[in-house]
Order: sequence, then structure tokens, then C-alpha cells
Amino acid sequence: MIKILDGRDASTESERQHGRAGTTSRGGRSRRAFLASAGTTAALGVAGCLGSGGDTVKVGFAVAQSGAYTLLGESVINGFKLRVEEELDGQLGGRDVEFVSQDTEGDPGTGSSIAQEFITREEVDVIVGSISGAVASAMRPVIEDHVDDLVWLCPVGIGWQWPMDTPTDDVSVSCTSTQFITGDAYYQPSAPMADFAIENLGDSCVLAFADYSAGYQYGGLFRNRFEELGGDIAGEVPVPVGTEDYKPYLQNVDTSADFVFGMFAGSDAINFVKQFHETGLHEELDLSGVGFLAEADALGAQGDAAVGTYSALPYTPGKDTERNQEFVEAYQDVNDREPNVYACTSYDAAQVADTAIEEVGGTDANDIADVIPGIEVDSPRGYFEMTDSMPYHPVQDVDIRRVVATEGDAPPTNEVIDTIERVKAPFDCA
Amino acid sequence: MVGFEALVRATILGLQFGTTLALLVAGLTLVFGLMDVINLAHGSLYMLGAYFGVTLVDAGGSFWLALVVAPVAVGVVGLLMEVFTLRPLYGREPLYQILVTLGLAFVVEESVKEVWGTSAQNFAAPAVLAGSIDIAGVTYSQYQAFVLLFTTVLVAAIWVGLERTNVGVLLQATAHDPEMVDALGFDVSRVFTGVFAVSAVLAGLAGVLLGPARAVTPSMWFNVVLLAFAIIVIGGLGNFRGAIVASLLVGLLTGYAALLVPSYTELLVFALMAVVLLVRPAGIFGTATGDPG
Repeated sequence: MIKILDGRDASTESERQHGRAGTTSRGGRSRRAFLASAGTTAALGVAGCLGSGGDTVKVGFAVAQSGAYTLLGESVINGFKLRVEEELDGQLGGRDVEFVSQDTEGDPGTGSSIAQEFITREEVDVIVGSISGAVASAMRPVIEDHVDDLVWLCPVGIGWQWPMDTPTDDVSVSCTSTQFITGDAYYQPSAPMADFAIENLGDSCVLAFADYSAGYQYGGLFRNRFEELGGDIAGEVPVPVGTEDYKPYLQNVDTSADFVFGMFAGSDAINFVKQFHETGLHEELDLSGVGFLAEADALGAQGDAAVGTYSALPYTPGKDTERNQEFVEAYQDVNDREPNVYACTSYDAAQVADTAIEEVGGTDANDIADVIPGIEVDSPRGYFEMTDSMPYHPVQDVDIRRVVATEGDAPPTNEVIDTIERVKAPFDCA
Repeated sequence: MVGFEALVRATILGLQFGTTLALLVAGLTLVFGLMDVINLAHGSLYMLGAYFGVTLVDAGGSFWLALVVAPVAVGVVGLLMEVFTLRPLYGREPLYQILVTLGLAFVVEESVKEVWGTSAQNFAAPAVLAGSIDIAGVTYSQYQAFVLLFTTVLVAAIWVGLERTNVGVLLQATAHDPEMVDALGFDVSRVFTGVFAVSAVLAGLAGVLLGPARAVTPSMWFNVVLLAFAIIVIGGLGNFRGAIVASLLVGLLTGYAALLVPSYTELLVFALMAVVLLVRPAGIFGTATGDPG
């Protein structure tokens, strides 16, 4: 079953002008796509270096390296470095790379001053980060004052907020001309699940979500799409972030509904899924959610409680393609663990930077910002294309996965059961 | 409208949550009551219990073995903490002890990251207790029911022990007048060490018991210690009975709030703490001695 889901329903001004969503042909790849494909770029990169001067590219990681997001921060650094150091001979676009990194501690104030320091003292060409959306929000005004000086790559946190009740078509987000999202743009791990669910899980859903901005945003986008398709939200269950005991909240789940859509990440996802199972709710309702609900890192701790959970995410480590197998093996060789979605989106950030610097032949931020829109990337998740218009983000396929048990003692794993093709977030810039 | 059945269910869930909390605060309140030490590393000892559980179960030991060995190991850690970091600070301002235990909490967090890594860990509940049972419309896993029963018996035993046994009398006397107890020939510093170690054992026990239902992560200590402190403030700092009653109260409050106004659950717990501090600064069961007035 293959469906096309895109932003064309939205039919906004910018959509009509740049309405490429859903129209990408896989056959006619551009020269850029050719450039971006794995081995070729590396070869060209080395060749390019021989001729050009010794200009280096300075990359600054502004990610959490302590606290709840430690693992995410490490994954982002590892993913980016894997591409640069193992596959591009330590170069981006044929120029030597110098890395700096600082711990945002997941704190917006710290993030903002790190951005300031990266720009004024370190004079970085590229900032990669942050993890938390709140930190990204705090970094945005600092970066906006220096859009001519650097490129901002966002594999995880974006820094967008809007009220939960906003209709999807009316969502307008903060745009920065040099911000390039290489992960998801909120829409992709949430709304496509509605398309799958209405056909496969039922038309009555309970929304359970972490009670903070990201929870409202992912949850709201799913709800809007689900209601648009004729589904009914039977109830909403907000739960505070960091809750250890979900059982008092789970009593609010209306068991006459068909399924639950959950928006929890990190240890919240682990606690929620385990306790959903423990209270016997899995016998009455299916569990679905954003991809983070059953992310590779969480499955080990969730164990059998996660089996049967449906989730949507652009990247699945178990994806059975040659490109992905290569990536997974290379990542495991260097880091001794399986990559997660953040490692993949950061690896792709390095691919985007490499291709753009190669094409521009320099690190001028404005020139780079001119070439990234429309670029096509050969990602472990499959090919994706950066949008032509702001907010710049990938138009990408979204995997619908189901957690299945594995033999022996190994933790359960995600199996891709459906793919919603070429999903684009139908957002306008504020 | 919320039906009668839903309220009954919220009550049961609230009491169950409250019992879990009681297990977490029991050791904390003993230490404060006796030693006047605000142990911010209590959550870390709880976390160590869970991680020791992970390692023991992974190494092929059974859950039951972990339930015995892990708390004892945490007790040893607690004992070393008391002897080497707290003992030199008795008699000084409480601020010193707050700082040293907070420092220890961070040391434990970083050590845990070094040893077990940053990603969430897990160990399974024993297979014997894999089934589920229904109590008044609420489905419990058998394991949950076991935790409930175990905790209730344990907390009741401590309570009775404090009230009725010679050791209990000694502890109460030490809390009341350590110098006199010293003069009567008991080694007060040993009593302190013992109580701190027992408190660590209780925290470790909570870690092993709650581990299978929760994500075992290097940051799991923080929320626990925050909530535990709200509870002992509500109950009256250092008052064992007060802490247990406050645990159940907070559990019930959480149960009802989650049913009626889920977004305000956390706020209500800390609002209750604020109200108690304003109206009865010594806590619901506190005595006037703690009253700054």
C-alpha cells in the first residue's frame, strides 16, 4: 500500500509557487544528486583539494553532552564525524575540517552564548545543533544577526512553536535564511501516521502526549490530519515531562477507542510504553505514535512491552537497503553501537554541507544558502530532497514501522511495514 | 462527568503510587529526623539500586538474588559515603551537608555514565509474576501487586520497629538528645552510620523494585529527589509518620488530579507543599520545634 501525502491540500501562496511536494520524479535525478551520491563526492572532494588553497571549514557542534539528551548529542557528533572522517578524508567539499564542540547542557541560555562564542570568537563556518528545540529557539536570534557569516544545520532541534489548536494550514514558523533542517520538520513523524492509522487501526483515537511544546506540536499535527481524514479524537491525555509513574494518567485512556497515538521521547517513551503494557491497555487498544516512541535506543529498555507498537519516522536502522546497511556497519565499526535517527540526520547534514561547499567552491554562507535548496541527498534513509523555499527541510519518505520480537535475547526491533512517500511539511514562514 | 467507578479507580491508583513514594521517602526522612542531614544523594542511591539490579540480572543472576544483593551493595556505598564525607561535617551548618550530598549526587551520575553508558537500561521482572490481575476495575500486573504488597509490609514493619522495639527507642532517643544518649554509653556516631546505611539499603531496594517498570537512566535520580523532598516537607521534616501519610496524600492528589486536571498535577503537588509551608511551616505532622517562629 503506497499513498502520497504532501502539503498540496494546504494550497497556500508559497505552496503554489514552489509546489514541488509530491511531484518529485525518482527517475530524473539532477547533477547535484549525482554529486551527492556517496563514493563520487569523496573522490571529487580529494581531487578538488589538490587544486584549491588551504582554506579550512570550521564546524561547531552546539549540542547537549550532559543531562537527558546526552546520548542524542553524542549521536549527532558521531554521525557527522563518520561522514567527514571516515568517508571524506577529513574534508568537506575538498577543504580540511576543523571541529569545535560545546555542551549546551540542554539550556537555552547556554545555547545562545555558545552560538555567540562560535560566531564571534571561533568564527565557525557551520553550526550543527542543537538537540532541544528550546535551545534552538534561543540560538536563532544570535544566528539571524550573522546570516552572512555561517550556515546553520539542524539535525534534531529546530526551534519552532505554535499553539496546539492551530490548523495545520495556518501554522507559520520562524524561518532563518541559512537554517537547514536535515531531520524532521515536526510534520513528518506525526501526520503520516494518521493516514496509516485511519485505514489500518480504526477511526477513533486517544491522544497521549508529553505536556510541553513539542508534545502539543506533534500531537496537534497528527490530530489535524486524522480529523481531516474523518477520524475522531476520543480523548486527550497530557502527561508532565519526566513523569516516572504513568499509571495515574493512563486511567484516562478511553478503552472504547481503537488506538492510542503517543508522543513521548527518551526515558518518557520507555516509561510510557512499559506502563501502557503493564496496565493491560495493550490488550484493548493498539499503540501508535511518533517514531521517538519506539526509537532504536528505547527498544532495548522497553523490551517485549514495545512489541506491536506502530510508529512513524523517516529513518529506521533496520531498513533493508544497501545504502543503509553500509551506513549501519560503518557506524558500528567506529562507535560500537547501532546508529539511531539522530546519527543518520547528522550524517546527512555533513553530506549537505559537503555537496554545497563543493559546488560553491568556498564557505561563503550566502552562496551556500543559494545552492542547498533543491539539493538531493543519498541518505541511509533513502533519497530526499531539500525544499526549494523556506523553511528548508527534507521532502522525504516516512517509514511506518511495527515493533516485532526477535529470536533469543536480543531486544525487539522495528520492521518497516509501509512507506508514505515524499512528505513535506506544509508550513509557511512567519 | 466523572463517574463513581472512575473515582474508585483513581483512589486505588493514587494509593498505589503513594505506597511507592513512601518507600522512596522512608530512608530520607529517617536520616533527616535523626541526623539533621538533608541527603540530596538519596535519589542517587535509589538509582544505584536500579543499576546494580541491571548488572546482576544481566550477569545471569535471578531477580530475587538482585533484590537481596543490590540493596546490600547500595548500603555499603551509603556507609562509605557517611564515614568519609558526612562524618567530618557534623555540627556544622546544614548548608555544608547539602552541598556535599549534592556534589555526591553529581559524582554518582557521572560515574554511572562511565560504567553503564548514557542510554537507558532495563531489567525484566521475574517471569513468575508475568500475569495480570484485576482489582476493582484496575488491571495490575502481578509484579505491580507484588511491589505494592512488599512495600506495604516493609513500611509497616519500619513503623512498628520505630515505635515498639529497643532499637526504635534508641533511635528516637538519639533524635531527641544525642548528647544524653552518648552519655548513657551508646556510640552515637555508630548509630548515625547505621541509620545512613539502612536508609541507603531502603533506597537501593526501591531502585530494584521499581526498576523493571521504569527507564533506568543516569538522570533518574533527579525527579525522585525533588518529589521526595516535597513529600517530607509536607509531612514534617524528619517525621516518619508524617512522611508516610504525606506520601499517600500526594499519591491520592496525583491520582485525582491526573483524572480531573492532568495538566496541573505537578503544580498541585508543589502548591500543596507551598500551602503547608505557609499554614503549618513544620509540616502537617511536624512539631513546633521546627518552627522558625
